[in-house]
Amino acid sequence: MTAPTMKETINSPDQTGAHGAPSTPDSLESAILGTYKRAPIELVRGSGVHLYDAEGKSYLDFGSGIAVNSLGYDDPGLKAALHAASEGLIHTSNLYHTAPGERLAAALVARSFASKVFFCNSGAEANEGAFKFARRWARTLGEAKHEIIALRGSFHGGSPSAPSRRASRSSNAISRSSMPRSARIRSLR
Amino acid sequence: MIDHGFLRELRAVTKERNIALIFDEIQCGLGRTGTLFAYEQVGVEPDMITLAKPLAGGLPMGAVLMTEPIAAAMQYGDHGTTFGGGPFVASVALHVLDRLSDPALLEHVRATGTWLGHELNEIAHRTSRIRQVRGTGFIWGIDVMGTAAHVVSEAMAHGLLVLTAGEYTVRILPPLVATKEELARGLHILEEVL
Repeated sequence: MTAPTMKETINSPDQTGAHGAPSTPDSLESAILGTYKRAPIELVRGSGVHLYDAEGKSYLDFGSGIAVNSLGYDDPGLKAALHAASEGLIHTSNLYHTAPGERLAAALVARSFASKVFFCNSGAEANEGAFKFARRWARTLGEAKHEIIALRGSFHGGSPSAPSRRASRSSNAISRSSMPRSARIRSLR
Repeated sequence: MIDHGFLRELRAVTKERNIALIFDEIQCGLGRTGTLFAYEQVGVEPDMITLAKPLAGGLPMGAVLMTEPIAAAMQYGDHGTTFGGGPFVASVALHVLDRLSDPALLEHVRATGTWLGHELNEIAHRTSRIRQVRGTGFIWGIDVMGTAAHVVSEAMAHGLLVLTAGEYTVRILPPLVATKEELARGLHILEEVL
C-alpha cells in the first residue's frame, strides 16, 4: 500500500525561506555531506508531539522524523525500554543467539502472515534483502526471474538497486534502476 | 491511494505465475493506517513485507517478513548483516511493537484519521488552495497550488513541521499518539499558511 506517493524529501527546493538567521552552520561550514537541504533550525529537545529549537521556539511535529516517531517525543515507556535495554548486551553479531531478537521475530510472526523474519538496519536494506530473497526463491523454482517491478511514482529507498529516485519524480516515468540488466527494475503498467 | 481491487488482482496474477509479491510497509506499516499492517485492510497476503521507520522507536532497524516458501529458499551464508536484530535494538523494538499493536491506539488512529481526512477536505474547500487530499489514518498527502516546499517553509515559520512528497504534495505523518486537539491546532496553522 503506497499512499500517497512517498518520495523522501531529498534535493527538494529551498525550504529555508526568510524566517530568521540559521541557528546551525550553513552547508558551507558543515562537515556533513550535503545530501539533505536542511531547514535553518537546530532541534534540541521534544515532548509529546512538540519539538523545540535551540532558541526555544516550539513546533507541532506533523512529520514524526519521516514516519519514525509514532510514539512522539520523550515517551516514558520508550525511555524505560531504552534504559532497560542498556543494562543488557548491546551487540554480539549474528554468529550467536540472543533472546530479544528471537522474541521480536516471534512477535512479528504471531501478528502477521509471515513465518520468518530477517532483521537489518534500515528500510533500504530491508528492500534490498527482499529483492534478493525473491530472486533466490525464483531460482529454486528453476525460473530465470530476476526483474523487480515497482509501481510508477513509488519510492523504495535510496540503495542502488531500488527503483530510482529520479524515476519517481514523474508519475509517468519508467522506474528502472542503474543496475545491470540482470538486476534491472521496471515499472508496472 | 492504491485500489484494493487492483491489489487483489495483482495477488491472483502473481500467485498464478510464481512471482513474489512484496509490500513495502516501511512507511505505512506498524499502525500508521489504523491496523498493525496496512495489508490487513486489503484482504490479500503478500509473500513478503518490509518494515523499518518506527520499528525501534528511532533507533535504526529494518525487517523483512516472509512466507515459509521464501524462507526455505535461503541457506546459511546467503545473506547477512553485522548489526541486524542485535539485542539492544530488538529489546527496544519489542516495547514499540507492543505499543503500536495496542487495539486502543489503532482505534484512535482509525477514528481520528477519518476525522483528519474530513478536516483536510474542509480546508481544501475553504481555501481553494488544495487540488486533492489523499490518505488514510495518520498518513496524508495534500496536493497544493504552488510548491509543497513553500508550504513547508511557511508552516515551519508558524510553528508546524510538515513534509513534502514530490514537488507539489505536502505530506502529513503525525505521531500516532497525537490527540484530536493537537491535530486541530496544526490544521489551523496549515489553513492559515495556505
